[in-house]
Amino acid sequence: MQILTTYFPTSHSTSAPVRLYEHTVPAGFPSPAADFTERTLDLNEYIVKRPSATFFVKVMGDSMQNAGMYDGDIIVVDKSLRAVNGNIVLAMVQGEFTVKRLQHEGKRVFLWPENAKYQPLEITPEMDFMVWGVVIHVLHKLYGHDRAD
Amino acid sequence: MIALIDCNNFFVSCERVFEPWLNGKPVVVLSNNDGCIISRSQEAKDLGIKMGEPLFKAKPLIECEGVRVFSSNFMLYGDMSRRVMQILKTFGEVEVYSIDEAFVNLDHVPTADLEKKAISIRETIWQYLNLPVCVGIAPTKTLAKVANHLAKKNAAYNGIALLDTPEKQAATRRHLAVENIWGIGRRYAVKLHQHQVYTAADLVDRSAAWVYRHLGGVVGVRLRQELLGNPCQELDLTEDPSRKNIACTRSFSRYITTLDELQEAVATYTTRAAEKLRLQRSAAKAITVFIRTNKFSVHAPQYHRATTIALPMASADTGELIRYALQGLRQIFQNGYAYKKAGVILSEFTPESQLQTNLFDTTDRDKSKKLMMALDKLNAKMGKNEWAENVISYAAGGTDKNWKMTLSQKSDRYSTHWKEILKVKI
Repeated sequence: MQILTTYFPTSHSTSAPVRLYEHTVPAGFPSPAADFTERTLDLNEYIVKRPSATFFVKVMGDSMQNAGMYDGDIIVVDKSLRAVNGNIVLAMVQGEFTVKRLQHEGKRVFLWPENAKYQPLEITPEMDFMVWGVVIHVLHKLYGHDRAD
Repeated sequence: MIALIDCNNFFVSCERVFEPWLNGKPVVVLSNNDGCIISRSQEAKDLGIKMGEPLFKAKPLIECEGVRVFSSNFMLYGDMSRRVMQILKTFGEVEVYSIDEAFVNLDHVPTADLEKKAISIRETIWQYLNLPVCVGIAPTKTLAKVANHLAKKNAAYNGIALLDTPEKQAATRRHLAVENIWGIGRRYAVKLHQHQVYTAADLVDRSAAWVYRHLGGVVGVRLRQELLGNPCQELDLTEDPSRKNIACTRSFSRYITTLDELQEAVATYTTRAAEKLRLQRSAAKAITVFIRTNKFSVHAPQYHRATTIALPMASADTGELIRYALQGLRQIFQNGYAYKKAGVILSEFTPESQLQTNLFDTTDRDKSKKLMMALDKLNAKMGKNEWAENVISYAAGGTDKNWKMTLSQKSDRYSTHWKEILKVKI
């Protein structure tokens, strides 16, 4: 890169503050905990196993409430996992997303809601169906502002 | 061996991840002022929609065929790209070549396992992200590019092409037109045709001395070696090229003719760039400003000018950077042109922690740093979009911003903004 133009300040500073000490040096007994302040717990580490394949999704509705998933909750979806029998999955059925428990019964495949109000749905070969990802956590807010951020 | 991984119709594919029912349907993504088509699904290509075609020209076809149209959502594409690169890093060293393309070093993989590895790369990216990719494997970057092209063009290859033996490489060279070789432009191809060089095979048949004379000297000789399977270009493994400079450039939704409006745009871009700069804890010592008219307009008078200003001291202060950017802009601005694009590039970085103090410096650096920290914190908390429509911002950025892009059909930023994450009725 070629520098075409250069500007210099026109006024000169007459004083430059110099700081002597950044922090105080305590005298006395050294903290025995100082050697152990290595790290703090990271919630991401606990919730997100594979960051490149993890997405957050907001769910609306009550069809999964017996699985502890309530209206407005945020679920953590890991796409790297292959869904197996019994997993709760985010799936696409006939052009719409849904979250249900994947249940194999012999050769038949069902999507089970976790609320007696709703009926299970059998997945048939002619249906447009795909598992988008496996739900690994539900983030349910108990207290606080009504804001996601 | 080197693999080149290239995402298919990347922008369209990113949109489909969050609307999977669009698989198998024609989809296009528009350029950043909703002007032209910049990404097409296979179905859209099959309808005859051309790359780069202006939206208004394709509109009748789009409406009649029910093509789904998206404005570009670069936040989303950027995050998906980052995820792809993250996955690729688990397979070997990665050179990020563009937003949707990367070279991966597979030297550690035994030849017999290369195909298996390629399949695994493809399947992993599909499983993790629902993004389709093509994988080309060869001993050199140039041949890896060729292999990738073969994988893309030939459906029977299932997205994977290996040029791992001299025989396969020779056969490919015979069918590879010189104009399709990575690095040979149109103009060089015409020149080569005049010497009866039509294919890559014709080219490598000529001596190195001939190639030196007719194809750009040492660059051409290297290209010939690469086509023969002898590596001349190493992978560039420097982490994150954005760290060398930070650019913020955009096209306007309409033409801008006045200095006032250009100043608003440049100040806004500087604001954005300065935020990125502080995010990586650097300060910049140089700032480049450029403005240009619409280079695609045939009749309009063209004007393109850039200037770079060396700051007396590296800075990450938005206000200070704006001041220099606007000084630069005033130097290059010419009345009487219709401007279509402007940009700001920050460069020559020093880590924030190693800032030299300058005796002649009149700015209170401590105060500035505190101010910037407060500003960033506030804006991060209150939310903003990629237009740096911050809650608190410099007045120089203007308040109307009616020159900014129109993003009429933008999808949500599903993976980067809490308020825009995927919503599912269950």
